[in-house]
Amino acid sequence: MTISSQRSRYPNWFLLPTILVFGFLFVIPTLTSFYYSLTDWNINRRVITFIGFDNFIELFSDIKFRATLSNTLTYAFSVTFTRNFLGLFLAILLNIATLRGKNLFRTIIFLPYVIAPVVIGYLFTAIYNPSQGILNQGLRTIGLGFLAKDWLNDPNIALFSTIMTDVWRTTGFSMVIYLAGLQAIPQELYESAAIDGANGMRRLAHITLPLLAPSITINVVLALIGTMKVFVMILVLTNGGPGYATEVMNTYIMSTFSLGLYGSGTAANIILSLLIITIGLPVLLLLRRREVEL
Amino acid sequence: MIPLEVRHRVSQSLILKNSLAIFAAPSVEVGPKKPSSLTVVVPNTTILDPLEKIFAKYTAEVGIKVEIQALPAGEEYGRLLQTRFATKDYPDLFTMDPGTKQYTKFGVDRLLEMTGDPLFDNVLEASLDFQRYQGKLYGAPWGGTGTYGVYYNKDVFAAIGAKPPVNYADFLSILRRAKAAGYIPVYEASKTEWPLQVFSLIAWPTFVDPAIGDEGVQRLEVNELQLNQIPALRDVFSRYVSLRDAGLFQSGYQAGTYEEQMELLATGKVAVAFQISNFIPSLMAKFGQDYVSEKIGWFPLPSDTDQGIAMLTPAHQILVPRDGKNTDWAMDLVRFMTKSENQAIYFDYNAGIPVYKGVEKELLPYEMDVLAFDQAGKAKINVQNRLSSSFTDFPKILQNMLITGDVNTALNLMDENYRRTGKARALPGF
Repeated sequence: MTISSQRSRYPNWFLLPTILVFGFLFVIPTLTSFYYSLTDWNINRRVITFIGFDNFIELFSDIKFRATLSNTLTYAFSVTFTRNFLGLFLAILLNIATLRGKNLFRTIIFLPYVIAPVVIGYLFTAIYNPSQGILNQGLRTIGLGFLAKDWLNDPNIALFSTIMTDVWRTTGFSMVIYLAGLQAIPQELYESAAIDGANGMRRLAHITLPLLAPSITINVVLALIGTMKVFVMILVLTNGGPGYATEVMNTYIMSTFSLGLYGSGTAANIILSLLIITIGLPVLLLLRRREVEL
Repeated sequence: MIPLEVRHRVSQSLILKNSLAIFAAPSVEVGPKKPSSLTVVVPNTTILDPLEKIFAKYTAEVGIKVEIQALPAGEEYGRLLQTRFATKDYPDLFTMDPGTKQYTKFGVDRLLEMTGDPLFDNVLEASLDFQRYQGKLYGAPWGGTGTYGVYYNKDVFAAIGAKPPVNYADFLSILRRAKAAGYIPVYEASKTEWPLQVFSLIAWPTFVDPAIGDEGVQRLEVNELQLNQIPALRDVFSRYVSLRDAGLFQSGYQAGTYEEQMELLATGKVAVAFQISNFIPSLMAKFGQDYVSEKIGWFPLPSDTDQGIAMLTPAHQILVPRDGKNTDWAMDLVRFMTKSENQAIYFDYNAGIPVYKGVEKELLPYEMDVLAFDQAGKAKINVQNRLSSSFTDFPKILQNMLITGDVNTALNLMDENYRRTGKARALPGF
């Protein structure tokens, strides 16, 4: 072995501590949990038996689990789309150089993101209260009393109410990322386009959006992953109810673990992880392909 | 069934003073090391005053402090305790709902067997009928025999000229009259979830037991009969959905809470509520015993032909983890708690019919009504206390059924969960 090859391998040793920590704290637990998802492990069993894919088969035949999957996807895509649409709109609006008080507006819109979801959950439980909540009170005051609903207890709109709460909480975060992206776009491009006669919409379509693609990628992927893992907000607002109307993957997993059905709960957790990878990875690759280098 | 001795006590206020010699002194004076404190876990719906009094007496007599830990009630309570068992974080003793399913929930090999303990000499034998698992006892009865049923406001009934119904059609007619008179016929605490179970459970003795008999329940116990194969149970679910369809629940019933249910029934805004007997002490704490005795009545869910069958719940129980640190002293505390004079302290604050000998208690009017049904042979124990598996997630299933109106799905889910739980507990036949 030559001295140069020894030197070239030398830096690899510095990776070892990280690899060990990552292996012990992530790889081994992940592989172990996959194994446990294939067993009948539960709180009453002292001996764990390998049962193959029985937990997975049982989960997919469970009506409640199927409703949960559907709710999770509805929640994830709705929040992701709405918060990105609003975040982008607000970012463009608050990026106008001549707008007065824009820093104040940016701060106000970002503020909900720094409040703990559990606090926001309780706050909106009060806001959504059918009789005393300020939402219905406000609607009645401005003559729109017919729109007043029991926002969290009506199974037809409970999921929508939780979605809008999360949109309210996270739009500011998306806006900040879009603002950073917008400020990185050279002004010369807009000036050239203006000289060439491009109107606002054309500048948005041909300059702003293509050059914002990295920000869109980050925002969409983070939002999708985060919303598929939603838990606290649902737990506090509705606890998955009424019925199964707002039951999502993590509340389902929690209740399965609470019942002591650890094998089944782990299987549901594996399904959630696979779901995130299956949806998140193609979205990431698709959006990355559309990114434009400056 | 309510033991014969208790029935006699009602009229004679009899005093069966057992020799307290068996309780006189802890049997562990020269045994295991005396701990400085013992931990007792109870659901957070427990009225703590009597426990605090009993434990203060115990501390004064024995010198061991007793710490009460109140955990969230309902299904969550059992789950939290199961988790503590799984992590070997045992309390010294804890109270649980009645029935052998509690033993299978934790595993009988993880609970201290109490068969033959002197404390059972003081227990009325009939109350142990639903507490023996494979002939062995793992829990000491705690509290009294209770009932689930239809609780009604007597003023509302008087205002609409109604009396406790003589059959189901009469029951529906009363509810319609209450609605027509501007009252809420039935208040359902749907948001609170657990009260939703009560209708189906009180309907079981009236509609399901006569259809499947004790043999049917035995077949359920060993998984030879499926819940979704019982037409009478499907009929019960359909009746429940029909009440909603007929507009007999309060408007916006999905937002209904237990607290509001209590408030509105007691103040005469609601005609009836399907509830458990613990409802009464909660009402008394808020409105006083005299008010509740005067205003609130009880009847079982009527059948199509008669007044129906009353549903009884056995006394709760005290369990001791077998691998706890202080099992001998924990048992000493159990014996102390179940002494007649300490049971009397319990009944100063709680409803129910005593199961320990020598406990004097004046029965409330609704308890007299329950007793009358029992004496007429028209009472059955809650089916949940006759089975070793559980109706897991039952309130949520019913909440969903009320939303969708889909009775078959609810039955299938109930059956699926029942068998899944039996299988998880490795019960025979599952």
